[in-house]
Amino acid sequence: MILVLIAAAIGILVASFGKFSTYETFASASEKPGSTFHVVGFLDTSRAQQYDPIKDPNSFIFFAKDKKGAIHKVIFNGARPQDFEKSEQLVMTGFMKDGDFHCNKIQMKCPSKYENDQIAVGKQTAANL
Amino acid sequence: MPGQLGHLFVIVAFVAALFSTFAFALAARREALPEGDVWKKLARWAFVIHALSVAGIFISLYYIISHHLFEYNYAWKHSSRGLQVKYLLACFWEGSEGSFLLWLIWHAILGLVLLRTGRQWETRVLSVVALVQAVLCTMLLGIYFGADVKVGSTPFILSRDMGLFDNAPMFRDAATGMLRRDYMNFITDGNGLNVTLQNYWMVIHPPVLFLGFALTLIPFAFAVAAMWKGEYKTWVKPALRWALMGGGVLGTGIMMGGAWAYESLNFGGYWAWDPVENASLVPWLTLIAGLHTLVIYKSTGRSLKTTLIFFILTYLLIWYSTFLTRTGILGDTSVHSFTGEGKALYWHLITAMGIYLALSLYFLLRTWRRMPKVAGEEELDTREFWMLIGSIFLLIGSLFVIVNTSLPVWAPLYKLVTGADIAPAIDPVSMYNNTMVWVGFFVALFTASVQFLKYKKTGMGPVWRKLGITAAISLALTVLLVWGQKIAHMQYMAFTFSIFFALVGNLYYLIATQKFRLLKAGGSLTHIGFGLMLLGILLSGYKKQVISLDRTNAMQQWDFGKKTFEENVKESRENVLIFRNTSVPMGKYMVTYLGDSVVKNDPPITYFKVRYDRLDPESGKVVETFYLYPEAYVNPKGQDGISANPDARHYLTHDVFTYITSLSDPNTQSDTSSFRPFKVRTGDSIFLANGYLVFEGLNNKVNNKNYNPQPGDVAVEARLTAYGVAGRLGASAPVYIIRGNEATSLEDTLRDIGLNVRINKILPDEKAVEMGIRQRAQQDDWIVMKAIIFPYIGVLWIGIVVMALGFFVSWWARRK
Repeated sequence: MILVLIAAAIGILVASFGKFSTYETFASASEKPGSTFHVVGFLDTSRAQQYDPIKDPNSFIFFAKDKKGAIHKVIFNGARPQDFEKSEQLVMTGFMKDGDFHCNKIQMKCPSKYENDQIAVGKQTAANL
Repeated sequence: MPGQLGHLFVIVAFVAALFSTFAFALAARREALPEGDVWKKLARWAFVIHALSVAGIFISLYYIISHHLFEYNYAWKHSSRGLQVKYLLACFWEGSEGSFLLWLIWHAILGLVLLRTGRQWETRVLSVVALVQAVLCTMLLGIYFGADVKVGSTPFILSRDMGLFDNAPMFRDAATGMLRRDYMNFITDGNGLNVTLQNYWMVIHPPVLFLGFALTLIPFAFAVAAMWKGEYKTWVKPALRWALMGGGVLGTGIMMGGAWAYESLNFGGYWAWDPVENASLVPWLTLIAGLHTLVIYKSTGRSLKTTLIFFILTYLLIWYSTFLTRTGILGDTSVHSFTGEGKALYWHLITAMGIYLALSLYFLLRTWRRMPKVAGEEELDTREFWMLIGSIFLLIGSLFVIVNTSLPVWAPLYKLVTGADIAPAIDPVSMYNNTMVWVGFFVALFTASVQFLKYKKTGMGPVWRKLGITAAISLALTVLLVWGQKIAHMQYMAFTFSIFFALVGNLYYLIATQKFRLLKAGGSLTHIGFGLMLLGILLSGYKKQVISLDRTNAMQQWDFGKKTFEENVKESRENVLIFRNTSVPMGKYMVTYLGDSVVKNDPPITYFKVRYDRLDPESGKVVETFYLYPEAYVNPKGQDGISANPDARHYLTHDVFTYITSLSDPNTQSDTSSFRPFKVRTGDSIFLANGYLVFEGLNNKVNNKNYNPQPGDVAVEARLTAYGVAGRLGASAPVYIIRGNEATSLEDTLRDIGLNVRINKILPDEKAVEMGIRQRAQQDDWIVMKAIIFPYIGVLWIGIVVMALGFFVSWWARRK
């Protein structure tokens, strides 16, 4: 009886495997338009970002480069995340459509999220000497 | 100096713990002999010295932080001068070293309690405790072996010794290239506590959580001690009490984290199946499973091995959760990322887990065949059988959660085998929910039904009757709730039933069988709390509603593949923009943004005043009005953007929850940003866009809070009152100061109407004053906010309190 339950437990665990997503690139994601993937990329700082809350508070547009180096426009339906520019890496969840990546979740990897490592002493020196 | 002392304490604590471990072990080996007593005495002294040293470490570090000794990296990194006193403790455990220290402190205190209460178990249990303490101390050692191998990291290191200034010329003496003697003049303040952590939960949540972590050590230590001694009877009672305590405290600690997330961290709720949350939930589940199997063993002699394994597993999982959350291995999958120590900590924690695993396996293998057991299988109509099944369900649930949470750990291996680069599920919350709802379903059913069974043998007749009554009542309640709350999913209907079954069954048992003898009813009470908690989770989670839906832009947006317009809107548009003094409908409320005000803390915090009017749907009249003040740190510490804290209105039946997601930048206004001059005499009015200002005259007594008087100052304050169509809007008091040869003007703001007022100059000949007035245009002052309604969240909090109370009652009732 207990063995049966343990078998069932393993069954549940195995069954949950199928639900995992995969990390893709923009190119491999566009092979399957409409399906949602994680794409790991980096913010392309050389191109302008668009976030104009007066026009639409739920649309933030920027360009990102994926691990293969391909640059695509990314349309995020939400407010512009804090410290976006300082992100070292982005994990975007969404799908490709007409060459643009539509995403509804962005996870940023910052140098350090909970600890401020940047040396912020520079500005104070002049005033204190 | 305090740093050297602190470091010395770390070393003494480590050596004393190590010595204590061996001395207790020797005392255990030579138990009956006179030399055993000597060893025991020595071991006790060593442990007391260890505990005192841990206190010494704490005091040294606290001294450094509270005296703002910023040459120490820890103080510089985690604290600042402007920090309120209550947060000084919080910055203590913001860093990795401080939280290890917190853990050490709790272990030391619990160890001292065990010295007094351990009796025949003292030597073995404390030997395990001291071993763990020694391992924890190494985390703080910060000693290098060769150039590359670093063991631990000390909180007492000076920034200059970390090489932080090596590439900063301003700290160097230009002539010699050495560090300047006066380099500390450059570092006048620390980085401070991260603003998102400046919250009272940060003060109380970590200590409770770490006490919970620390308490799981003791059942583990007893399990090891029992195998070591080969005596499996008398350890049950103390282990059970400690496990009960641990279950209560750890459960409370975890849910305090949930309350914090709900209240402030903008995760959009109290539980997001974030890896850090999962990592602390899993050992709690296995601890609860072990608690139940221990009760089985106590009553029937069965499930001894299962219990031992559960307690060992719990403790290993506690360390594994530390491993997951501290080493940065979770990487992209967690919003919590405590990185920093990296590789050194990675191997350090693996070594620590290896030590505990080896210790446990050694004793398990050595004693496995000799452990007492009861012949034959459990009968189907016994309490012990179903309790075991319930525990196994808890184990299944925890395995499911931990395997999924650990995905980043095993994904590289998976890639090696299959070539696929797997990522966590797209929607992890529903993935976890959809499985865990069934675990919850079975566990909830068992919490009620199994109590009606008896150990060893039950006559099933009366049990069926009781279960039948419970099921009937629960079914009726379920139908009402499913219909009332419009629950549409099958699994949640089943879940609703199981919750009511748990509540009704346990109440029934409490009334009919236990006749309200509360001291005996700790179990039932805990189960009722658990049921209420699940009910709160169901009601608030299933019916959570984002009311800030932006409908204006919805048409031009893309299709999210949902069936209806409403669903598409919900999917994409949860942020709404509101201009100052305009209203936007949200749910049954009209929401108006009224303005902001800045409190000059360090760092300054901005409050946004938002008015909610509930309208009667038929007459359109306002039936209820309340104000919310969500707050945000705007561009804190040179960061870009905002760090927002929500505000919530609490009702018995639901909470209305609001936070800011974006706002207008006060610096880049397109408005008429110059001050327009107005010459006024006492009694004159100045007309504004939406009202007027009355100048009431000058006053020598300055009340303006932003004015710091200095000797020799000549200062006057102007009194102005603003009126609108509806009457008085507020008062303003700009200040004019002559300090030495210089005249300065201190402006005042009336945020509600976007007004800045200052005194340009005073014209004594004309008995007049020239005021400078600037009014911000309304279209330049706006916020983007999100509003969520959580129904019946109160049920969840009540459930947690009842559950914790239940644990405590059980613990108390078993004191003799």
